Amino acid sequence: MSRRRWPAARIAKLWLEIAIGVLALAGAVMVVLLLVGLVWRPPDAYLSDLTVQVSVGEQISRVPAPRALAAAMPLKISAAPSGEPDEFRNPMLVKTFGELRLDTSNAGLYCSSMLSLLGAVAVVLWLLWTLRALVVSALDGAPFTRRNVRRLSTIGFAIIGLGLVAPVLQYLLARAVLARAAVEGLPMAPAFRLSADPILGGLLVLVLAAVFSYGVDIEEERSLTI
Amino acid sequence: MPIKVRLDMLMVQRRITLTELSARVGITLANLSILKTGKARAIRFSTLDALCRVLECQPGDILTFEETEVDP
Repeated sequence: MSRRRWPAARIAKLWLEIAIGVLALAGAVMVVLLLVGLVWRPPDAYLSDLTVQVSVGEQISRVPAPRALAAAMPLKISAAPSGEPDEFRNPMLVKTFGELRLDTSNAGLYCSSMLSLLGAVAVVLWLLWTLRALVVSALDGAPFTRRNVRRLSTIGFAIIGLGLVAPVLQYLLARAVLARAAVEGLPMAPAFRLSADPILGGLLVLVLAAVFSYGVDIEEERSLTI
Repeated sequence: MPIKVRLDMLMVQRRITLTELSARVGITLANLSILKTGKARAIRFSTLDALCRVLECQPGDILTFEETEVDP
């Protein structure tokens, strides 16, 4: 299996190395900004752009503001060029998710947010590095190894783990912020947005690891057939 | 595995070294070593054919069945 047979792998390796470089640089800049922001901050200065995930609307209808968003922002509807007049009525935005961005003097909250982000960057960097190792093994002509099966399994579990842990951390951070500050006129709740995408993606990688494991068995059988 | 490879005994009888056998059969020294030490999972008919020609023997002289206790 010469290198010439794997042009896609060579392109993948190049892109992965570019992504690793860019992400590592972004991570380093984040660390520097965090340290600069914390160390050289005047006592009364605010740390900017603390962003938390919030939901507005029906999800918080248990608090005494049912359909708070609709009440806050009554919507009017008109026919679009391809629609007919009076085709729709009573528009009501019952729930929406968004990001609440605000400046804070609370260094603890700011650090929690930045460290979560840095943790995610570190995990993604590690994932990219492991993917690169997989591609390199394919370029070397020996992709079907037990080590690669372990790599794929770890990637699968890491993607699922990231998909489960990230929403919890975002929820806890939003809860901590909203426990200290309320936006007047627009009741908000911390959003817990569990996405199926990383879980399905991780499961797909785990299936690939199982198939790879079968490939390793065949490869071992082949290499020990004289 | 109850199938044993008797290549070492045949090589002694034919007074042939592993290197020479490897060259004459046309398989690598590493693969021949795997076969000789019983680590091989399978053997191709073509390999068996070449070994029998060089060692002037029958397949049954190279491979023997020795019954061992099967792990429960």
